Amino acid sequence: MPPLLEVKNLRVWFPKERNFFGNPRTWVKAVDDVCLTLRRGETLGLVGESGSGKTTTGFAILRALTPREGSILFCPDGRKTHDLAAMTQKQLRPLRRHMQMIFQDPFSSLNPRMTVQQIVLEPLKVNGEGSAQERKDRVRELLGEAGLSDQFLNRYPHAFSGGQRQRIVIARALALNPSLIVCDEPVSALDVSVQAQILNLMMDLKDKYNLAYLFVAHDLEVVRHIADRVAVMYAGRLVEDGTKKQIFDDPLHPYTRSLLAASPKPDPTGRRSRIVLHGEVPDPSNLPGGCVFHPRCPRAMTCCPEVVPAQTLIDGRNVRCLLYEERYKDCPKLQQTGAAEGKIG
Amino acid sequence: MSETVLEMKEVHVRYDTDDGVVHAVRGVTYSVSLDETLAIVGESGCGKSQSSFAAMGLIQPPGRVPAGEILFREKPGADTVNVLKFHRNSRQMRRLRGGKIAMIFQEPMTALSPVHRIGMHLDEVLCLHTNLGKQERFERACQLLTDVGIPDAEKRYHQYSFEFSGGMRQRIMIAVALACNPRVLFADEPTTGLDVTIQAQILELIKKLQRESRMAVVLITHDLAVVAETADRVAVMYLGRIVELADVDTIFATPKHPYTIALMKSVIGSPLADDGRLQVIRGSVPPPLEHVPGCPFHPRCDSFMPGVCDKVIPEFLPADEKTITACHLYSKKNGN
Amino acid sequence: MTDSSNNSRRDQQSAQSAGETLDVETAAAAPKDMNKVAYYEASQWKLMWRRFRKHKMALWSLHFLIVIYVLFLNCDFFAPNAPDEFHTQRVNMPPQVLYFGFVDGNTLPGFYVHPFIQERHPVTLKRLYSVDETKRVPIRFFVRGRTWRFMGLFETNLHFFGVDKPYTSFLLGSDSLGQDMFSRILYGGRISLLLGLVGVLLTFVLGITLGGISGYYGGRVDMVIQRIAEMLQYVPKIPIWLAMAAAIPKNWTPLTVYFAMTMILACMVWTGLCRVVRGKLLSLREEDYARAAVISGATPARVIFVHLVPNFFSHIIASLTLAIPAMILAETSLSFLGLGLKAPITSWGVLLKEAQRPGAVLNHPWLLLPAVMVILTVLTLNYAGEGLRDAADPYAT
Repeated sequence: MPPLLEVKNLRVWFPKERNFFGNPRTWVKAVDDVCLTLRRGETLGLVGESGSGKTTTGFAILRALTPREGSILFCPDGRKTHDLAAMTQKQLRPLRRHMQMIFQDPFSSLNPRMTVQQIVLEPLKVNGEGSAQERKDRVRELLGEAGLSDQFLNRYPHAFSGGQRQRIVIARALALNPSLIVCDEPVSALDVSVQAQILNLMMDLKDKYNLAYLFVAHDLEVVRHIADRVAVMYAGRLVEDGTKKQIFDDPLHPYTRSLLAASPKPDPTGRRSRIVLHGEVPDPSNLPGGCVFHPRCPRAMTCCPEVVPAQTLIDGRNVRCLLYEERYKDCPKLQQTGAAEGKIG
Repeated sequence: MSETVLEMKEVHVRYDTDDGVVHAVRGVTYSVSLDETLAIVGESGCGKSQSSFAAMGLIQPPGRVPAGEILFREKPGADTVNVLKFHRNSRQMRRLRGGKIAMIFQEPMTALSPVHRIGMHLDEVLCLHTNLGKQERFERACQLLTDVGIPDAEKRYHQYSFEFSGGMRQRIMIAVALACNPRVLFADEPTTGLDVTIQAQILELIKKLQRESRMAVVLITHDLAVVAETADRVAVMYLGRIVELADVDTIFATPKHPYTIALMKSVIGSPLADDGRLQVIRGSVPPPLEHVPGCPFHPRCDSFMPGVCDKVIPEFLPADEKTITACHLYSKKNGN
Repeated sequence: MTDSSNNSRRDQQSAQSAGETLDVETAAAAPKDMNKVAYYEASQWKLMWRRFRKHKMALWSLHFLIVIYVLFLNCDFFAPNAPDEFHTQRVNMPPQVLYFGFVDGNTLPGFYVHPFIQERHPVTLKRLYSVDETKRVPIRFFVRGRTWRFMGLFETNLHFFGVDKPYTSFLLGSDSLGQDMFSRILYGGRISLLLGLVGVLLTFVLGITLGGISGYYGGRVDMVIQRIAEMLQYVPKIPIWLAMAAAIPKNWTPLTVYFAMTMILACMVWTGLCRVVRGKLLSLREEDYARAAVISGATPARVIFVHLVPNFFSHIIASLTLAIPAMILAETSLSFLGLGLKAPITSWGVLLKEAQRPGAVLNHPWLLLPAVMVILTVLTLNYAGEGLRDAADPYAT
C-alpha cells in the first residue's frame, strides 16, 4: 500500500523582482527540493527556525499555495494516488475532505461573525454531507470529541479563550473524518498548562481516528513529545529526517546538533555547556552557495561552499551533509570567522 | 550573599476601568541581590510584567499602585529609597528609569524607533543619564554595541532599525538598557518570538553582561525552559500573587504549591512530567474582572480544602528552609 | 451540571480530556450569569451597538439625524406652506417668536404667535415690520391645507400645523419673494439629503464592485483600477464639476438635472470606498479562517460572500456614513456657485445662492439659516460616522 503522503522534490519559489515583461528575475526560495514521507496514523514533526520554510511546506501540501516544482502524492483511501501538485483548485475540491489544517493563531482561524455551530458545520455543508439534522447532530458529537459542551453552540468565538478556540478549530478539522491534518504550530500561541491540554487531546484523537499529523513546530520539546518521526528544515532545505529517537539521541547533521544544543530544557539539573550557534538564518532570497548552512556550520569543510549536499541514507534516515558523503568527507576544515563552536555556561 | 538591590514589599497594581476594577498585582513581595537572576514565571495575565512596570514607574492611568513599597539601593552600602514615593514623571524617577533601573522589552521590533538611527537611541540614554561629551558618548555607544556582539559598531551606529534582524535588535535593546550600568535589569520576555539558536545567544549574552557589569536581573517569562537554564531563584505568580518562591533546583525538583506542581507536570521535558500523557491543570485562568475569594488557585486546585481555601487568603510563609509559599497546606494553623 | 448526560455519551478516551474542560465551561457559563451568556451569544451587530452607545456624541448625533431625516423626508406634511407659494405682501419678514400660553376662545393652553404689522418707511418706502402684541394667533395642529401625495400613493391635505387664514405662519421669516423660509428649508433639505443618500448608494455600488474586483483578483486589473481611482482623487474637483455641469443640456427638466448631478458626484466620491474595500479584502483574504474555508473545499464565491463580505460590511457602512456629508457639501457648493441645481428646485445650495445678495447678511440674516442646517447635518453625520467607524470592529480592544 502506498504511503498516505509522499512529497518529492517540492519547490515553492516566490518571485521577488520582475523584469520589464513582468517575468520573475529573482526568486525567494522558500522551499527548495524537499522530500517527505508520511504514513497512515503517523506524526511527522517538521522542525526549523523561522524562515526555514516549514509553514510554507505545510501550506503547499494542502495546496493553499501553488508549488513551482515537485509532486505531492496523496493516497487517502489506500488505492488511488493523486498528485496534488498537478491538480487545479476545482479538481482538488473533492479531495479536500481528506486533508485538514489546524492553525497557529486561534484568534484568526475562526470567523468572528459565525457561531460555533456555523463554524463546525461549514465543512459538512460545503461538502454536502448528510441532511440538516444529521449535520447538527454531528456538530454536537464533534464538540464533545474536542471536549467542549454543546451549551456553546450558539456562542461566537469572542466568548472563548485561546485553548477553547483551538478545540473548536480541532472540531472543525475533524468534521469530515480526514486522514491527514497539517498542524501549523498548534500550541505555540497557548499558555503552558493549556498546551498540555491541547496536546493530550490531539494525541487521543490521533489514536482514535488513525490520523496522520504533519506537525509543524519550532519547539523541539513539543515535537519530541508528540512526533513519531522528525524532519529538520533549514533555509528552505531539508537537512535531516529520521525517527524521533535517531534525531534526538543521535543527530548527524551539524545543524540538528546545534539546534538541539541551543534548545533550553525545563530541567535545571541538566544545565550544561551549550553550543552557541553564531550568525542568523540567511535571507531566503539571497542564499549562500553550496550547503546553505556552511556559513554558520562549526564543522564546515572547504568543499561546503561549492557543493550542494545530496540526500544520503544512513541507518534508514536521510541526511544532507557532505560530512556523510564518501567523496567529500575527508576535505580539510574550512577556516571561517564567526562560526566557531563556542562553549559557554 | 551579595547585598539586596531591590526589594518589593506588598506591591499592588490596580486598573480602574469602565468595566470594573482589574487588580493586576495583589501584594507581591520579593527581593533581588547583586549578581543574582530572579525569574518571575506565570501564565499570561498573572501580573508578572505589571509588577516590574511598577518598579520602573511605568504604570499609566487608569492604573495605579495603591499600596506597597519598592526599595531600591542605588549604590553599594547606601540607604534604600522607596521608588513608589516618586511621581512617575518626576526628575528622580526619570533619573532612575533607564539609568539605574533598566528594562528590556519583549518586542524588539517596536521598541526601536524606525525613523532614527540606532546610535541615536544609545546617544539619547547616555545624554540623559551621564555628563559625557559628544565624542565620548559616541565612543561609549560603539563600545556598548561591540559588547553586545554587534560587529562593525562604528558603521552599524549609523544604520536604521529595519536594517537589523530580530535578534540584532534585541541586542541593541540590551545595549540601550545597559548604557548607564544599571543596578537592576528587568528583562520582560527577552527571547519570546526569537528562534531557538538566537534565543540561546541572547540568554548567554545577558548572563555574560551580568557577570561583567555586576547587576541584578529580574527575568520575566512564561517559558520554564528559559528559567531552568538561566535563573538562580524562581518566583511563580498566579493571578497577581507570588504563590511560591525558591531556588531553581528546589522548585523544579520539589515544588510545594499545588499550582507549581501542576505547572511542572504539564511542561514537556521537566523532571516531573511523564513521558506519555501530560498532566494538565483543570480549567483556565479566570478573566481579569472576576473576583476569586480566598486562595486564587482554589477552583483549579487538586488539594482544595472546602471552608479554608475558598475563604481565607493564604499567607506567604516559609514552608521549609528552602521554599516560601502561599498555600494553606503548609501554613501551621491548618496543619498539613 | 447540565453536562453530565452529555459526558456519559462520550467514550472513555475523550472523557478524560473532556473532564478537564467541563469545569471551565460551568465556571464560565454558570446560570447565575445570564448576562454573560447573552454577551457570549451576542452577534457582531449587537456588540457594535454596545460599543456605539458608549460614544455619547455619536449617539446624540444619531438621534438628531433620525429626527431630521423624518422631518425632511415628510416635508409635505411638516411644512405649513408650499415651497413656491409666495406672498407679495409679506416680503423679507423676520422670524416669528413662538409663545406658549392661553389664546382667547381656547380652554387649554397652546402655542401661538403674534402677527406682524407691516408699514412702509415714509421716506425710503422700505417695508418695516413690527410685532402686534395685542393679537394672539393660535398654532393649530393637524390642519387641512394644500393637497399632497403621501409617498406618491394617495392624496391628502393633512398638515402638521398651520394658522387660520388670513394669517400666515413664517416661523423662520420669509425671503424676498415672500416665501416661507421654514417650508423652503424643509423642502430644500429633502433634496439635499436625498441627493446625499442616492449619491452614496451609487458610490456604494461603484466602490464595492470595483474595489472587490481590484482586491480579489489583484495583479493588472488591480493596478488599472487603482490608477484610475488615484487620478480621480487628485484631479482638482471644481474644474471637473464645471466641465460636467456645463455638459448638462439646458433643456433638461430639473429632475433629470438632479439625477445627472448625483451621478457626477458619485463618480467623484467612489474612489475612497473602493480603496477601503480593496484594502479590507486584501487583508481578510490572508486570515486563517478564509484559508480554512478554502481547505474545507469552499468555492471562491462562498469564501467571498460568507467569510469576507460580512467581515468588512460594518466598515463599509461606517465609511458610507462618512461619505454622505461630502455629497451634501459638494451639492451645496455646486448649487451655490450656480453650477448645480437651479430654481425652481429648492435645495440648501439653491437657497444659499438666493441669499447671496449684498445686504442679505446685514438686513435679513435669517436667509442664511440653510447654512446652519448644512453645518448641523454635516457635523452630526460626521460624528455618527466616526462612532460607527470606532464600533465597526467590536473585537478590537
